Amino acid sequence: MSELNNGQGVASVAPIPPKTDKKDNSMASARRKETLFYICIVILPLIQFAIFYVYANINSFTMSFKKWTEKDGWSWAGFDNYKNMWIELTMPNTNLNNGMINAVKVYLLGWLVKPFNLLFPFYVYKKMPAHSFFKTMLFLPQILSTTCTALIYKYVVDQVVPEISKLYFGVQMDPLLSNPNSTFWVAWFFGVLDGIGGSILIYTSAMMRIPESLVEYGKLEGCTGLKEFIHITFPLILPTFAVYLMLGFTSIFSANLSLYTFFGNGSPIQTIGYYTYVMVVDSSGYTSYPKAAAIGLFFTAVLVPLTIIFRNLLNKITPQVQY
Amino acid sequence: MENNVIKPNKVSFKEKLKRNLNPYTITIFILLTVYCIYQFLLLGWGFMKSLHDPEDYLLRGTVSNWPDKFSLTNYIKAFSTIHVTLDRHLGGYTIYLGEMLFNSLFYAIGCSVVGTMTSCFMAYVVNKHNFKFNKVINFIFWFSYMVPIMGSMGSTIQIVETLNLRNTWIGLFIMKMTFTGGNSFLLFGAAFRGLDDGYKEAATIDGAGNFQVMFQIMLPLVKALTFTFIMIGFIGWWNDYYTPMIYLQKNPTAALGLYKFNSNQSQGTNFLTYKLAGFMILMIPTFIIFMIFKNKFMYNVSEGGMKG
Repeated sequence: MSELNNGQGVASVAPIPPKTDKKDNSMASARRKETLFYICIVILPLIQFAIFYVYANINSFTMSFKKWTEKDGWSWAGFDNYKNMWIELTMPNTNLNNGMINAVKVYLLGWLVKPFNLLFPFYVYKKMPAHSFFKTMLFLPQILSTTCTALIYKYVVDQVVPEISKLYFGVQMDPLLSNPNSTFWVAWFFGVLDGIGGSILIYTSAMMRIPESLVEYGKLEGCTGLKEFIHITFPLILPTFAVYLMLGFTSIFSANLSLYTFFGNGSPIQTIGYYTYVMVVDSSGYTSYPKAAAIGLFFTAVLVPLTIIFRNLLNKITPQVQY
Repeated sequence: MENNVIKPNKVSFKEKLKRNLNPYTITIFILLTVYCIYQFLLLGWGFMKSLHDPEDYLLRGTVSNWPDKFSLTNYIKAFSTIHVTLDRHLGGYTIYLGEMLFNSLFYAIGCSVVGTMTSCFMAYVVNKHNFKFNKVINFIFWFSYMVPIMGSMGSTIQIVETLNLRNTWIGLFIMKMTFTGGNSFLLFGAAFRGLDDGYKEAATIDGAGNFQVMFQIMLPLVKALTFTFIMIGFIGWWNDYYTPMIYLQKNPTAALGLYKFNSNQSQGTNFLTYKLAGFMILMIPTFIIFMIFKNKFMYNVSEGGMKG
């Protein structure tokens, strides 16, 4: 018999009755039902994942070592696809070489735009003149069809601008986007203006979490305007910024500069994303799929270790801030 | 005791400008103004030309001139002019803008609902039911989120064809039944973690089953976030033409149809005003949705981002 000293003497306490089989059974039954419910919910998305991610990537891997012809169907090709890809990649002025250079160029140029990705939200966060209007305008391209805005942009830069230049200034001008010499810059410029507001809401909300007391303290120390941004705001939103940097890095080879929308399959310049997309879309049968798979897997293999290094680097330099 | 609450005075635009008059503010103000002018010029030109009377445009118009005559004819004629003729192996028939808009609606609603609800259900079970397998699901999510494997498009097409799902609505929706693309799984997870388990326990004591608890108690508590994700998804899929171009050639959406009609070089600029009216027709629904739900939409997106 268990006893409990309650300070006033020894009181005897009735033993806790052992759990009955009935209770055990009901708990087990509840758990069984919960397990069944759990399986019902997760089973379809997991089957979907198994087919369209796991199997698709395994199939893509094996495909990269095969070739396909209309006559013979699939056959093994060893490393031929990788060899051909490597030759094309290292040979100047080939599509793949051009695509890789442009992908890296887009990524590096993206750093020029990053200060504006932060300074525009800071403007909105500080509720400066017309901030609400600017916020809406910056977010608008995320709502409107990029296909439509890209095609309108193409008409403007290829037809309207040269026509105005000729009519009003007497200057003959080539279409800006379709001219191979300026295609990259004109397409890049569209991408920048179309995407610059994409992160405005996330950054603004991260900034709004900064305690008002910190900002007030900074003001007393003379931190206002840009100084406030450099010494208070930026260090405190660095973790959010780091996540964006990371995601930007992982999509380095996927950039497509809206080239397919502008030119269909006839773009004068290339990016890796565009090149492989066209290869698959325009493929006769499965002919080009193995090459596209080899290119994709090669760049994934390059990207994965770089991503890990980049993430570790970011973790080291990003302070763990709590506020 | 009288409770004196000091209400902040509403600061006028002029006052704000005076307070913030420093080089940083001025520079950013100018840059943002230039950005807005660019957007207005781009969309304004498209809108203006979409209202250019087609006969006037053919007789006297150029791409840059101000229309002598405005009319809504382009918007009416866009429905009978903008079309896509399918390849022979897909049936060879012609589809017009009206049907394409219906396809877009079905496609956008279907994909956004399926995608959002899949993420929502998965986030719910992982965060509200304690199973060891949750770790596997979380690992799957993070792995595919951080390591985007490239080059599997050909392989996916091959799988879809093998399963006889290409050019079928059901195939497309199965492909979208994923919780790994995007951050909705993360944000739903954060929302469910923030909900008190007491609701669930009280309902269970009252005899509610697991499905009842999920559908009648927990999901209504995250309906604002669900609505936002469905809206975001709707806008994204409404505007998408890459996926229908590969997997839904038999039922082209308006975005795909307009893209294809525009790419038809033989038409030159003859149909320019119709095309621009078509673009405007495609952009108007998402623009209206955005303007109606602007505040709710922006608030939920930023709240979601904050939690993520």
